[in-house]
Amino acid sequence: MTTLPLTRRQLLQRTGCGFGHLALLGMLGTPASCGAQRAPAANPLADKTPDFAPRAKRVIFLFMHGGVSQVDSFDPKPVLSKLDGQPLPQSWIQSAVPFGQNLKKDKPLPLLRSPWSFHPHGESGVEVSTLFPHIAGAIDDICVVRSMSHDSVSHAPAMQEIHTGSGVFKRPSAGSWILYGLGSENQNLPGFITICPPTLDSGTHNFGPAFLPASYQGTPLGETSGRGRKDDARRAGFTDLYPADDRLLQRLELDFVQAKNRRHLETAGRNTQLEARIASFELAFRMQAEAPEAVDLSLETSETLALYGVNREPTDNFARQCLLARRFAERGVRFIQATHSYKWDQHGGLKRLHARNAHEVDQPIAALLADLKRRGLLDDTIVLWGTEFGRTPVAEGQDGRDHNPYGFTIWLAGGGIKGGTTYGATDEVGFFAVENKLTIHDVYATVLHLLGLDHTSLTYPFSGRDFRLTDVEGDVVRKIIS
Amino acid sequence: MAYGLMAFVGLCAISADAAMDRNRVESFEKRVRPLLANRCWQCHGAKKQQAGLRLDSAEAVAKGGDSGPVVRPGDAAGSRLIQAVRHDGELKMPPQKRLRESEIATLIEWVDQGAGWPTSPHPTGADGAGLFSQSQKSYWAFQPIRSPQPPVAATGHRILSPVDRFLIASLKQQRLSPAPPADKPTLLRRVTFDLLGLPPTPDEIRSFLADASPGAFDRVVDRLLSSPHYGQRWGRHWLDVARFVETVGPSGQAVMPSAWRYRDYVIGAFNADKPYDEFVIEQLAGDLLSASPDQIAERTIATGFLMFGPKPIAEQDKEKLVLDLIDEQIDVTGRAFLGLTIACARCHDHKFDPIPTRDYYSLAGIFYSTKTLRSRDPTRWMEWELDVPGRTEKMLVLAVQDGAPTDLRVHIRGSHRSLGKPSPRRFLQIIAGEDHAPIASKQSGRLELARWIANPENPLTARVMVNRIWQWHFGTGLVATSDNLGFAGERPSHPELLDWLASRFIDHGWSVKSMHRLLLNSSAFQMSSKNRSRHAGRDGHVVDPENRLLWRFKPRRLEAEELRDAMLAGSGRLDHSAGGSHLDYHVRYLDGVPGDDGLAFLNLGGKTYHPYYRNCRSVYLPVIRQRLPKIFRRFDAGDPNEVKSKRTETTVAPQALFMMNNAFVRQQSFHLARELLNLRNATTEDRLRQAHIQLFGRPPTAVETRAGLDYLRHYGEALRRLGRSQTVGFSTGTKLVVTIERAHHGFRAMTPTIAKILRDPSDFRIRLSVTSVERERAHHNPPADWEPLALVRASTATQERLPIESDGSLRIDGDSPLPARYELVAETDLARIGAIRLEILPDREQSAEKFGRDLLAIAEIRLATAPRGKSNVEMRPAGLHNATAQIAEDRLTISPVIDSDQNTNWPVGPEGHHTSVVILETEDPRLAPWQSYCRALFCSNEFIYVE
Repeated sequence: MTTLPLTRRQLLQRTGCGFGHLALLGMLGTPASCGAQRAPAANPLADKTPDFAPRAKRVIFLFMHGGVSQVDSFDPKPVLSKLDGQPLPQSWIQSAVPFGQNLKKDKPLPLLRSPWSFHPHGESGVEVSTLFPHIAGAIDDICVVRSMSHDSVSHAPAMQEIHTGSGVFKRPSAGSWILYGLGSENQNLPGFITICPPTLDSGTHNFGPAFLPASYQGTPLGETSGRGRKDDARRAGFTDLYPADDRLLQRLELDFVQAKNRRHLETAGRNTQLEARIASFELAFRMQAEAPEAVDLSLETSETLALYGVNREPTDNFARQCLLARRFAERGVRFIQATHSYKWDQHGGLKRLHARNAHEVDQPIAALLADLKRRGLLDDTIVLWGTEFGRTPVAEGQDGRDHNPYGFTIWLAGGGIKGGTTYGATDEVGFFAVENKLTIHDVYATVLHLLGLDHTSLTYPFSGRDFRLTDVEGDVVRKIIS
Repeated sequence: MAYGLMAFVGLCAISADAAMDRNRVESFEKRVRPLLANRCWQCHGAKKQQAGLRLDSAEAVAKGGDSGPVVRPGDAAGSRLIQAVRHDGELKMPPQKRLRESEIATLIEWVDQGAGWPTSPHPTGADGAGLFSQSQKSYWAFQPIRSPQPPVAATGHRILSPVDRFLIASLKQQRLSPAPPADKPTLLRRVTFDLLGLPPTPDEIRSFLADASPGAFDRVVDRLLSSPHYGQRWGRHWLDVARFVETVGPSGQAVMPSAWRYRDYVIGAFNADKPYDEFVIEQLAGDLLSASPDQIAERTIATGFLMFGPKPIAEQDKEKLVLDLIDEQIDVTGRAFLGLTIACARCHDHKFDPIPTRDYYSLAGIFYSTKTLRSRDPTRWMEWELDVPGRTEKMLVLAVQDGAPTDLRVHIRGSHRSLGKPSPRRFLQIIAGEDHAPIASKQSGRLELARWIANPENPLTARVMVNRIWQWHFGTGLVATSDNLGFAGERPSHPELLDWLASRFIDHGWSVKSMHRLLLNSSAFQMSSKNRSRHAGRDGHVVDPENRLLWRFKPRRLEAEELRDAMLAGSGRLDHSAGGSHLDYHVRYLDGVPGDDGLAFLNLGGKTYHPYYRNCRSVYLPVIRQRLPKIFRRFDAGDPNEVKSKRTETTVAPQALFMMNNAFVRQQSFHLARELLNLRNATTEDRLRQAHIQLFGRPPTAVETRAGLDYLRHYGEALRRLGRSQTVGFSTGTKLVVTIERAHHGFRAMTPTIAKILRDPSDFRIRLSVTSVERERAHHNPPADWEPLALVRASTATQERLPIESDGSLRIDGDSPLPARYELVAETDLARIGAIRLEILPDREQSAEKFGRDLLAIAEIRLATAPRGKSNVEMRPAGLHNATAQIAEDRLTISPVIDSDQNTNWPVGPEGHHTSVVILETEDPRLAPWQSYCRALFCSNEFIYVE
């Protein structure tokens, strides 16, 4: 189960040095006052008490970069199959929604049926396509939201929209907000870790703190450039974890650095970058004790490795990410993201490439859900599966689909989510969300609620007003909560 | 769509309505307009007007319905619209389903804020007969550059430059005042990093502090601008824009062996203060300019600019491949020079900017008429041999050439299989005029395009560049989105200043150095960066936390290259040599890159390479796509797949781990410590002082001197407490001697395959690396922490010296008689060696499997270590029970782990061939505390921030 944060005594023992460092230890572990005013505590990452009793303690965000097609995965559309090849009726296009020029101007594009068939699964009978057979097996733990929408039509702003709630402005990432709201349960690991984040499409902004104090920055573990390499996750490790000399000597050295940095901070004036850098050295020092083990997959049983699909193609890369996510979750990391690289953008080659992509992630994701469940972690871990937008039910070329932010699917599981359910709906062909439309603000309002935070009171003052993760929007979707 | 086409495209368009700020417009476009559209327009829109009411334009809302206005701007409670949506009166709208609370709140906020209604630009020109709407035509960035008069500044401010007048005027509006001037040491450190990417030297500090005469700072700026290091720093900025890289990509690692010539060109152009308009023209069409014999090479190489995009090698459709390359060329041309995301218009009219698809294909025609690819062979993709007058040999260059002039048709939805209207080669219509005359050239039209971009009349070119220069000096551009000045970008914080600078830039012959002088000799650049509350006036960090108005100088963290260079400069190890490439010229394909995370060797097709062996400036390190050295990735160097002139600045624990534990930092601390200890006739205080001056550009305070003295003493005591007295044991700094003894029967008596290998004149290399990682960790830790050791000496048993390769390895020549014994000497600063790794690598491309098999057949290797604390004694074989041998990639790696308590031999292959390791203590025992002290200074915020 969860590793408890170190007590001061344990920390002193572990670091092998005396009380000369208590000034620094003051930065640790003081529960901050809760509620609307989250004044920066001495340690910005200290574990904080939520506003009310939480259902979940942490979030794992599985992000599929490129745009997963909803009508081929979790949003069955029998009418689309019937109308295959026929033009999208103009009357279905909601003229009020600004969307791609091409739909209106060019000759009407033909609808394209899904190459995959849908079948009911589990006791709930929720339909999932044959693209995701393993995830389908866990459908009774999953709530499929079929009515997501926003209006950022290209990757970079859509990525920002999903990660931060704003496609236009540089806003803090959801992980940063949650870390700001709740702190971290484990002071020996970063509270917000993003595994193999993409370097493109808004890059570090997707896990950046924007105007929040820099300590709430997501910490990348590895990276993915473009469509990635199949060894990205294998190569993702925290490095430089081993001091070249005795820990006591290192502590002595670090104390000297920090004393100098604090003197410097006093003369520099208010500066959250400098403060964050001071805190980052403390975290780095503590990570040396716990991080090597946390990322060491060789400590897993062969049964577990096989469950996720580690050391096997094509699953190895994402299996490692999912397994790392579970290892971080059980160690109390607050927000963990695993990104499947920019592969899902099937303007063409839908049949082959969506299938390939699904092969890479399907088993690892199902394994993660099963593994969390058998360890009792699924109860207080929200697993959020998402993508920056869906794809059009009309064809692009013979075998492709264009971007579609107006109606797409995400799903949630665990942490108080009502499994085996669906929420919302798109129109008959799966183009526009029409019933119980949700924005990412609603999703985050709900996630914060499950974490015991009121999304309207999680605020940070900046530039003359109080900002929120959900801006001035977002409603808690109570129907998806168990 | 290829990734990276639209790095930053917002969804909303900004109004021509100057009264609405950007936040409000965004709020309207994101929330209010869609809400009205989805929930109201069905009955109150273009088709139906229930109760005579329309809610789909500003005019209609103002007019109201049959019973008059429904919105009272500023008074939500008194507006009938709000009463209706609240369902708290008789009128309940929408009648079927009440809006959500959050939606109602949105409408209330909108009305309370004045019910503003921005005009939205319609890229297709919805509001008139012409191609573009009025709001598009009147967009600020497309207006001619004005040359406004600098405002008259209020008295009481330090005005050094007209720039200050503009800034102070806007500060005044917010009742803010600028910070006082920075002190001289801070200013010198700031300007030196700014222009050179290096810290000032002690001599430079001394002379600036001593110079109290007027113009002292101007003279510093002049000195820095004439340094060759200036181009290395500012050239690197441009290389970010040009997405410079030395491999083909996106995932393959074919090397472009002459890419470095472009880097040298850029650095040279900045050093020579090449006028920016010329710089632009050369990069797009240098090959088409008439050139004197000595200009031919330079102008051809400049067009390498068009070649660095990721290449979709795997694309089978040849035509699509060509069009994808062109797409990338349009993208980089648009962003780099015009600040526009033109490539967004490939499949449809640009969603935000007035760039019709036809304009895209007009430009595409220009690049279609240009030859980029030479061959389908990825190792010979784009490079060709140029005849250079006066040179006997041809020069391999990475450059475009003109092809047959061709006009394209619009590709409907970006598909070359579906062609639309013809789009003759020409420029962007929003700037050059609707339906302006096509390019009437027998050439590709690149030269015409380049000249059109570099024309002083072009409203974007000068603005984009002065804005970037501003950003690189002050941290944020006057337009914060410096690669996008289009509708989705941000608006300038100081539009008048931007125009004034742009027109001055043009008037002064597009001189970048002149622009530096103007900006640096301002009081804005010379302000203090401290963020302190004011006794009088308002606090900047409350009113303007982002410091867009520049009420103080914005401190910044050193960029990755600066950090590495500053540590090398601090330790005295920086190699100042300039130019050329550190990628082997003959390397063509980079196949297996071992997982050593950038610190160890990259294997370039049989050659090996280690980025940190060379202590050259960072700008000269090879740029290998997806394999940037670790320090660059840790410290936000960005991704060369993307045009990006603004680096991000993250602060995360892995950076701290790098500083605390990475071998590079430790090595520089070691060298600095040794240098300090080598100061003659110096007291400890003198040494502390020297360290501060070298790293921070200032002497230590009394408190710091005392803290330093205390620290050195405490550290020494701690060493003693640990049983590591200063005279016995492994001290920091060890010499490592490895001896390799030949098998009794000799190399030659091997199998025919080995004999064949050994017939090759350059057979294999031997390389050493060490790690401090302990045995049990090394067992399952990936080899990320291995650090290579450069050999300092290699000799035979008869003391015959053998030449060391430039990368620190020993090359064994199979053809010459093999000595019975090699002795290899290396130095390490590691205090504790956890393991030693010996690698034997093929020197040429060979089959990895064959090489490994043959090598195992010939080698038996044993290692031995000394017991702790003994030096210069005969070693006994020891501690190899955890050793592992791996044949991976194309090398044999032997990783024994030292453990002096064990006495285990570890033979590989036939008997008789030995390697033994002897560890000698050679260094000054005082080093350990000093090394730690120096590293602490490198780790400090003062070192890594420029204030």
